[in-house]
Amino acid sequence: MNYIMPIALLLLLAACGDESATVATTKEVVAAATEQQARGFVFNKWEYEIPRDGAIECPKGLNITDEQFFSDEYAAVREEVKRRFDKGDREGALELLPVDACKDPSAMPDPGFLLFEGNPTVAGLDLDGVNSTAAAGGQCAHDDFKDKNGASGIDYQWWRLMGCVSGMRPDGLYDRLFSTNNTILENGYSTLLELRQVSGTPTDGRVEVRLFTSAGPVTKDTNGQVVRDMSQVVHEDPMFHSAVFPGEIKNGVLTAGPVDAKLKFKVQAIDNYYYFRDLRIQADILPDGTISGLLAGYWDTKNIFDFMTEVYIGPVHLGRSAANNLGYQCAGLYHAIPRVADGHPDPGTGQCTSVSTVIHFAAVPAFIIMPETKNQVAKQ
Amino acid sequence: MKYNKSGSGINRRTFLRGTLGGVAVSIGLPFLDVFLNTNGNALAATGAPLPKRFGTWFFGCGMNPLRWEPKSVGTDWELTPELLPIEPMREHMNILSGFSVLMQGEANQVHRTGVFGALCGGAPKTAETVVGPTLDVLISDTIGTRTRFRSLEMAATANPRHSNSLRDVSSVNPAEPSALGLYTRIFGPGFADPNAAQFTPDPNVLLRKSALSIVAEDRQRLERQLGSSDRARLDQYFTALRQLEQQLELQLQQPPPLAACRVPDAPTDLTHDTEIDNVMGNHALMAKTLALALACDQTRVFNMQFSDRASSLRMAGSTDTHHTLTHEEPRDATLGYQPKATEFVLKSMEAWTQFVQTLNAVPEGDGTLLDNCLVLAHSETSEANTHSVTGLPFMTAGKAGGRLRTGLHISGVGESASRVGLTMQQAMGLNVGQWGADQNETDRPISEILV
Amino acid sequence: MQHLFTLATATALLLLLGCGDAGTSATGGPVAMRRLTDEQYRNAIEDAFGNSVEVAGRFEPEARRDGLNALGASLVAVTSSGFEQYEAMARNIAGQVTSPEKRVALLPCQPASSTAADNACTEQVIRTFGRVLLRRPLEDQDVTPRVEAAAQTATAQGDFYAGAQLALTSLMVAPQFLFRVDVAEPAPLPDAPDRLQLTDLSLATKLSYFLWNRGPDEELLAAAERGELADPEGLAQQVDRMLASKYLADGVRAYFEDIFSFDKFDDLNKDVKQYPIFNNQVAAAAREQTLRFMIDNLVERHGDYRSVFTSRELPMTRLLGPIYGIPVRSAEGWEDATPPANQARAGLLSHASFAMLFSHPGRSSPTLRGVFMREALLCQAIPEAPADVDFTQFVQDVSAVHKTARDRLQVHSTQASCAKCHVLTDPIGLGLENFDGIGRFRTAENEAAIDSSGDFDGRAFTDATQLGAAFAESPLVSACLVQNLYRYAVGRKQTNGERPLLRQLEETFAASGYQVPALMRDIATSEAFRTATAPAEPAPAADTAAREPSFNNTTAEHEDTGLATTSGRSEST
Repeated sequence: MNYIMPIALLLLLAACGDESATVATTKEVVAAATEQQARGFVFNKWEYEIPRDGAIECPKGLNITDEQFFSDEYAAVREEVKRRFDKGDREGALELLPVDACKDPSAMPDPGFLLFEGNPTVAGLDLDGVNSTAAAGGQCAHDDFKDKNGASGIDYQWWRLMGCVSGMRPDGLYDRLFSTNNTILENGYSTLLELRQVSGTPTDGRVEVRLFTSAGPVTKDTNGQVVRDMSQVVHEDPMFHSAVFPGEIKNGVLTAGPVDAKLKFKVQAIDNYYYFRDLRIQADILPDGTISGLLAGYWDTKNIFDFMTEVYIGPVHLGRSAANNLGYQCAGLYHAIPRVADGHPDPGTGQCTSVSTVIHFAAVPAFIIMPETKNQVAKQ
Repeated sequence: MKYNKSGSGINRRTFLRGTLGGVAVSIGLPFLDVFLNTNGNALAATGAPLPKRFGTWFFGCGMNPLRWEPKSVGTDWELTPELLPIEPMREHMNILSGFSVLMQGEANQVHRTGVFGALCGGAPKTAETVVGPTLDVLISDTIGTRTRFRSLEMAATANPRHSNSLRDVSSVNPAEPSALGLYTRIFGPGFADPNAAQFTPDPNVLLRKSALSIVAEDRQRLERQLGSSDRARLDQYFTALRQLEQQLELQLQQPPPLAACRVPDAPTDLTHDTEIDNVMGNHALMAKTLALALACDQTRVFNMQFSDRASSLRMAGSTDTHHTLTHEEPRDATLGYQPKATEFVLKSMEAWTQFVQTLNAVPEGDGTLLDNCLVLAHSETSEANTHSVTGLPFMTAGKAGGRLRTGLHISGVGESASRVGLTMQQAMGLNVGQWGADQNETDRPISEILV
Repeated sequence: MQHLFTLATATALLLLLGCGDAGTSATGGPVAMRRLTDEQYRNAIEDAFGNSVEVAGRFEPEARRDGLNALGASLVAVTSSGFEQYEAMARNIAGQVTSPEKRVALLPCQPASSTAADNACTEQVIRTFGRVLLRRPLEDQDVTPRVEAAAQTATAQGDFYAGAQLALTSLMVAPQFLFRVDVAEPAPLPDAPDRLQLTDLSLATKLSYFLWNRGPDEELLAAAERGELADPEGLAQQVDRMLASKYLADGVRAYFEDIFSFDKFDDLNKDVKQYPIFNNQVAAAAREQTLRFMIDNLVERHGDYRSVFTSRELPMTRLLGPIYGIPVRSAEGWEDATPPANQARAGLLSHASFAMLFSHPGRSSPTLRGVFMREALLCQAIPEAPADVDFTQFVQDVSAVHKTARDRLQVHSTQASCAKCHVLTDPIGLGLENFDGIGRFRTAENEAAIDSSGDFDGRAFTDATQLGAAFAESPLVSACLVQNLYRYAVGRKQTNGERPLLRQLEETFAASGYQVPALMRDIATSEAFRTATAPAEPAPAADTAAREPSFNNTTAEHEDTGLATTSGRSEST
């Protein structure tokens, strides 16, 4: 590590002499100074890629909810359900409703699920290096997408799964509410990204990367934006500390991965975590010191279902409410997930066990503080 | 019951001994003439004239004289660009332009001479002195002795230091910074509703008075040790104590019913800062509470600071204060004035008009509360850019219970602003023939507006 | 080492020449009557009743004179609304103390019957708490009326504690509590026939408020009662005990809070669009940071006062991390930190607190910062802005594009009449321009490079670090501390007779290695501190000596608009 110092000094000297460097932003100055240590970032944006350009329609229609599926049964008990809810008896109310496959997917047979079959341009990465088509056949066969620059082979099977769910579509519930970074800014947890320079410069070189979940909500300013340069503590549970993985910065673009990462997601009634396998990062490091780009990787199939359906208020399971709100049936989703899975085939059965997913993220500089617990994985 | 003016004729504890037994204070108690003034005028409910109220309304950093001062005097004057906002209430107001704080060797203390010169009757000689108590204190010494509060000070900028009301520099009456705080102080515990069907005096009041009387009677021991200026400060302490005693005494008697009085709902403050929208909002809330406080005769003297001396107001989204703009903003070549700074002048006039309208919205007697008020609006400077104390802006609102004409524009043609102060005092019934210090001394009120 | 030796020799010589005598035997100035500050009030309640009692209420604003609220305290009285607040607070506190939850723990005795009067217990309550609140043993005149009133109340209400509450309330609204008065007796000397000496009890109060910002503790009161403070040995013993106490930090804190005008934090407004990370907690943290820094350096580590201007290490808390751009490990509380090496940040002048306080809502203000440094740290008065300056020639040139504060102020230093004042304030204020309106480090403003070099009274500096070093070496800085600390201690400006004392204090301060506790000791044990002259009579009208320093936001005339002075500079005395 001791070649860092002279490089840092050279940088500083260069900064002093160079006309343009005298107008360096604070962040560049600080970044240069802390080169020997990690550069930390805290996410202030996390949203699924929602394709908007090209063929985004669902000609066969959109998925229905349990409420629509069971409409007669719902009608029969609706009054009583409402009465019990109003009395505060949530559990009693939910008891009356037809079988809850969100709590137990085996509770009803597969009612079917409409997958997305369109061909819009999609932001994402070619995770497997293959331009896959469904026609090619095989257990995990699927159609890749193209991105707006024409690059093919973009893997985004999660959209095949959710693209005909009304709440996930452009201008749907998720787009309108959550894409304003609701969860992070609503005192949900956030994700921390750490870069350590291995060689080269902060704008051109090799880095070691790590992802963590934060110990708690982020600090916001009076405009409700995430404060930069704040000290963010890492979550004490090492489950949410990724391994160190390699990365490269070239012309201000960071590419890193692959890594398996479990990242906690906790806001309001939701307390869960994502499990991404072979996750990759491709993001721009901007002149103001912030980062903006994509996380793309394979979302573990079991985790998808758990993640989307495990929603609790107190002892009451609200997965069905979430599904009703977004516009799908848990039973249908449960059986559709293996059908779209395109990653990590089971060695025995050949069934793919993960679904390619794309997340847009942005992050502002932060100081990452490791927590002080006995369980902590020793960090060098 | 015999009672001498110094207040010590009645042994307070003797008086209390008879009533502390928990026996309710009966309305049959002799009416202590402490509740009457020297002329023995009865209170409003018994058919006598409604009380007159006096107040000051202060806005910082003045105006642009050429755009503010009306061009002709008398009743037939046209609204100038900076007076446009007062249009709905002009009939209730007088514009007094051209009155100045005259200086002869005293330095023009920026943002100080204009206000304390006008309110105290003479240009302050040093940065730490004034030539006398402010106008409102003089008036409250006469008309404020019978009410629960001698006077009420409020600041829409939410800062207790934003007050121009003082007896001297050691005793500046702090301003109430919060609309809710103002409301609670007036209508919270301790408020006796004049129109309440039942009246049960709170026995705690007697206890509180008893605690105070122990202190009041110990005065001489401490006074002995002090020099004259410290004794004067101790005097002020005991005046303040006496004021509280008086408040408590009032709480022992059922107040006479007042038709105009009604208890408002508690307000919710807007953000406490100097952003114009929050200031305007908090100002409006305070004005409403004040209007009803006056109608319920909780006080007869008030001081409202809309913006402070060297106005720290800011427009939403702007980083420059009104004051900074008056000095730094270039004069627009076409318009001939500083556009952003002048926005605040208009806002001040707007707020002033709203204030007057709020007083006018309370029916009282045959007319409104405003008819029985005399409010003096003023600023510490005319042209803020140069800190000019020549031709200071003065406006009155209200008829002072019939004592004041309204709707007029009077020009002082450069005479001392003490003429304004003298007029205010005379309109409020003070027995004063001349007022002011040195070159600002005058014996000529503005007779055009006095009935 | 050599430096110290030279100083010591010089001091010894001076003493031999008898120049010291005039200092040590100076009689103090006029007696003072000072109103308690809200912090002092709270400390008094805590001393009397412990910290389980809450003080809730609003205190009247204080008055600042010559840069110190401590001087204003000798000036202010109590207004009606101020008294209302005191009475409400007193009632509330007395109510807590006599409440069923607390009465057993807090009262020194319980009545024979809780539903009737008990004069013996009432008296004990009054004497116990009265001694602490009034800072002296109680006399019959303090006690008897209160016992009587309490007895009447207890009987009438059938509640002993109602009577006790009344008695305690009346103690806390008494002027003897709210004001501390120097009581002095004649003690003439042949060359000082008007000389007075403070009574021991008065001296005890004056000492404890100076060193601890609170009333005397029982040990000090007892020593005063025994007459021990009249004897220099006895006085020194108490002073040394007090300097070793944990409360010394409170006293030092109170002084710097005062001279740094930190009460202005209460009214601090910032434009949230420019500084979205600024809020009340951040401001409070910045305030606390500087005060902790002073205490850490001057009290805990027995540091040299001058080093506060150069010390890079400072206490840090998480909220301030983003402002200084450094990580803060502790989730709560404070840890020592060093700003990043590439920020020219060292010493007091570079703290976020001053950057925040002496700025406009939306940008920094070199002039406000310069005025603060001159007046509070160098004791140099900056003349008031004259009223009638014409700005048109400055603001009319709309073609000029001013990106940095230096540009904006440069225009005004071209005018000789403006430069006269601004040459004092702006060059040093501009030295702090790397710190924006909330104290973040920056190298550019509006994309133009910031030049923070300048000249401090003949000594060149390139940035805030060097400016701090220049302050550390300026004799004016330590002389100013001596003067201000003395004034703070006695509650008024020094008299002519006390000037030699101040000079001597400066010398011993230097000889001690600029140890502030040692300076406090020298002040506390000086003749002048325990002697006095008769109360001042009001001065005749034309008193131009006193002038309130102008580093407050109402006189932002000093900013950007350069104003000529007609009266010329007046040296602060």
